[in-house]
Order: sequence, then structure tokens, then C-alpha cells
Amino acid sequence: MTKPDDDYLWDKTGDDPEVARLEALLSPLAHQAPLDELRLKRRRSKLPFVIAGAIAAAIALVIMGKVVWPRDSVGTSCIGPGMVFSSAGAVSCNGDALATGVLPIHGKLETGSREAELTIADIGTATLSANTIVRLDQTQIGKRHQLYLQEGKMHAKVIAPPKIFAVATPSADVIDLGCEYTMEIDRSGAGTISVQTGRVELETANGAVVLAPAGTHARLLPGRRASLPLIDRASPGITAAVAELEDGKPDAIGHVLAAATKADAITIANLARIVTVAQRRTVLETLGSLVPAPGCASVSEALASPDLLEIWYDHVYLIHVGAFDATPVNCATPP
Amino acid sequence: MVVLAAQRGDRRAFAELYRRFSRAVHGVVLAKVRYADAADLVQDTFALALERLGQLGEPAAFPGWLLSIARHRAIDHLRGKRPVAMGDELPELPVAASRASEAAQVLTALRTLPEAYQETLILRLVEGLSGPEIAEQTGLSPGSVRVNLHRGMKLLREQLGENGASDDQAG
Repeated sequence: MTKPDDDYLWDKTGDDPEVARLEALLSPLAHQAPLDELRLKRRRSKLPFVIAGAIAAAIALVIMGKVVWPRDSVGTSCIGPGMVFSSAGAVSCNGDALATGVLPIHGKLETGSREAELTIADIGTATLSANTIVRLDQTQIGKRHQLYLQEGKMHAKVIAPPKIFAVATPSADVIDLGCEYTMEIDRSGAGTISVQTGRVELETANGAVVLAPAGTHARLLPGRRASLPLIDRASPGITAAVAELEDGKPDAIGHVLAAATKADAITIANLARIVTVAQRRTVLETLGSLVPAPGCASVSEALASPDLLEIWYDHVYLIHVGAFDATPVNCATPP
Repeated sequence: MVVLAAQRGDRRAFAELYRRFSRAVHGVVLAKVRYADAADLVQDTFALALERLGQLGEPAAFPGWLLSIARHRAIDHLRGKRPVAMGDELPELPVAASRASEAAQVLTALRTLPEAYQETLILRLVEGLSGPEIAEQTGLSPGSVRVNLHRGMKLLREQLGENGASDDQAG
């Protein structure tokens, strides 16, 4: 018997006669029916569209705001290429007092007592609060846009493929994966990030990356980079335990695991990403008690397969954002 | 963008979502219910999705959210019914009579696999989606889909047997 070609199973390239034969056998069962409009009319409810319409109108206003901003009062040192900024009054762009202009690459914008808005190419906006200092490190349409938030508060709203927009801070790098979030950095370089929609990637102290989805927040720590993300309604117990972890206390992992509830599964999944290989089994055992691995795979199976681990983390993420119900799964009897 | 447009009430956008995702929904429900009931549940799932679309806060979560509705509709449909048996479906499968028995046997074997594998393999073998298309339409990462396909196919081959019924009727 010849070895099956996994490429054919994956993307239909290569050759696997058995898979091709099963496809031919089962393909007549594929779905072909058109949308039943009559059934939609029977069930349709108007109310959700009123809410959605309000959200859409708000987004449209943001987009229109970008279009109508004046762009002709550009200071001598604040010319393109860069990011368009706008404020109700003068802010400092490379030392020039301007209400609108273009923040050039390597240029610094200081808002002083005013708010300002940066247009991130065609993918979103960053609203800067008063007393905020940012630097533009990179902007290439279709490739990468990167800001450095030195201090202050920024609310970013980006609709783009993952990893197109990034924000560096004195304490941590934040990479956008398509979302809306608020970051605040104080003069010492410490701060917080709170994610409202989508998810962001944060680099942690040991160089590992954690994912903070909507409804979570994390601390940004000078020199130690990001903390584990906590859900916004995290208990004082797990909040304190994560603080212990940030301080490097020896029993902190055990305390985090002991304090975790099912709602904290996203925190535990992220903990599993950053601990050592030796510690991972214990963390995954706790994760399994909160959200079993898909297919009731065992911890040993997950440890042996990085891909399976990613499936598990994805599953936890999808439950966290409400895409899956967190209905308890009985894994007592293997499937 | 299509999800946002559908949330605003754009019916063409919703029809586009149906065009893109109806096969994935069909595959997910077919993993649980008999073939003759699956198409009806697809329509039911989309009707429910349209009704609740305004409650979806994160457009990127649409694929997982939609399939979650489909799974629940399929489970609701099964309440109080006996499990699907191979013989039940035999007369209703739209395949040549000479191959209906084998198709029913493979479908039954697929349904005995763990859920993640059965859904992914049905999307691949029945609905004809490629691995990357499955990832896009389920919200799973490509790596996860690839593992599901690989492991699921390995289990399916074991179920069918190296020289089992599927090979006996090849031809």
C-alpha cells in the first residue's frame, strides 16, 4: 500500500487515490440548495438591525471624519509620507504648533492639553488623549504601520488583517490582530492595555507571546513587558496571583491555577504558552478541568502536538468571545 | 465587511454569507443528523442567524458563531429522537443505488469520530472544501484544520479497514 499524500487531503494538490475516491463517493451529498427567502421573512426581527445600524452609523462617522479632515496646514517639518493627524487646536508636531498635518516617519506628536486623532492609513484611527506623546516608526500601506507610545493614552480602532498595525511602548510591544483597544502609559513607562474588540498580541517577559482578546486587560511592565491578560471581571484572588507571578514569587503559578474559574480559562491558556515545558503539564491539567481539549484529547496528547495545543487554545478563545457555548463537556468516557 | 453590511440589513450581503458558509453549516449538521433533515436545518440556522445577527459584537467571530448555532440546532433537532442508524438514511441518499450502501457506511464511520475530526472531514470529503477553505469558514487556524484532517483521516482509514468495505466496493 502506498503512503497517503497529506497534501491532497489538505489542499487537493498531490495524489491520494483513497481520499479522491471517498470524495467522489460522498460529493453528491454536498449542500446545493439556495437560500430560502420565505423562511427568513417568517423569522426576521427588525430590532437587531436598529442596534447594528447605530453601530454602523458610528463607524461611518469615523470614516467620514478621516475624509473631511483638512490637510493643507502642514508645518515645514511635518510633511508626508506619514500619518495624518487632526486636533481641535494646536498640538506639537516635531515642535511645530499645528491643528492638522502629517506626522512624518520618526516624527513626534505631543498633544499637550488637547486631544488629537491619527489616521492609520486606510485601516483605522488612533485617538490620543491630552498629555500623550507618540512617535511614528513606520508606515507602509499594505505592509506595516508602527507607532511608539512614549506616554499618555491612546485608543486604537483598526480594521485590517492581523499584524499590520503595531504599537511599541517603553514596556511592551502590542501587535494588533484586528481590533479596538485602549493603552495607557505613565511617565515611568508602566501602563495597561484594555481590549474592547478582536484581540492583540503581547510580548511577555520571557519573550513568549500571549493573546489578549476582547474583554481582557493586561499590565505593561517596564523592563518586564506584558503581564498575563485577565478578564475584565477577574476575581481579586486571580488578580493578586497574577501580580505575584509578575513579581516572580515562587508559588505564583500554583496560586494562579488555584484561583482560576471557568471564566478565567483564557488566562490559563495564556499561562500555558509562557511557562516552561516542565510546568506546562500542570497548567494544562487545570485548563482541561475548565475547558476540556476538543475531542477530549488528553494532556499528554496535547503536549505531544503543538498543533493540537493551538486547537485547544483556539477553542478556549472562541468560547471566551462567545462563538461557542461553554456547555460542560463530559470527557469521563473517551470518545 | 460583509458581516457588517448584513448586520445593517443588507440582504445581498446576507445572501453572500449564505453562499460562502452554507456548505460549512451543512457539513456541521450532517455530522449529527440524517441527510434528509440536514438541508432544512441549514435554512433554519441561517434564519436564526439573521434574527440574531445584531447581537454578534465581533464580525470576525461570525464563522464560529454561525457554526455554533448550527450545532445547537442539530442537537435540538435530535432531542427525543433515536440516533441516526445507517439503514435509516440508505433510501434517501442521492447517490447511485449501487453505491448508496457504501456512502451510508462511510457517513456512519465519519459520525463515530471525535466531533472536531468528523466535522472537518465531512467538510473536506462531502462538501468538497479544501483545508484552507475549512479554516476560513470555521474560524479555526489552518494548523488546527490540518491536524484534524490528518488525525481524522487516520482514524477513518482504521474504521473502514485497510481492506474493508470501502475497498471491496471500489471500482
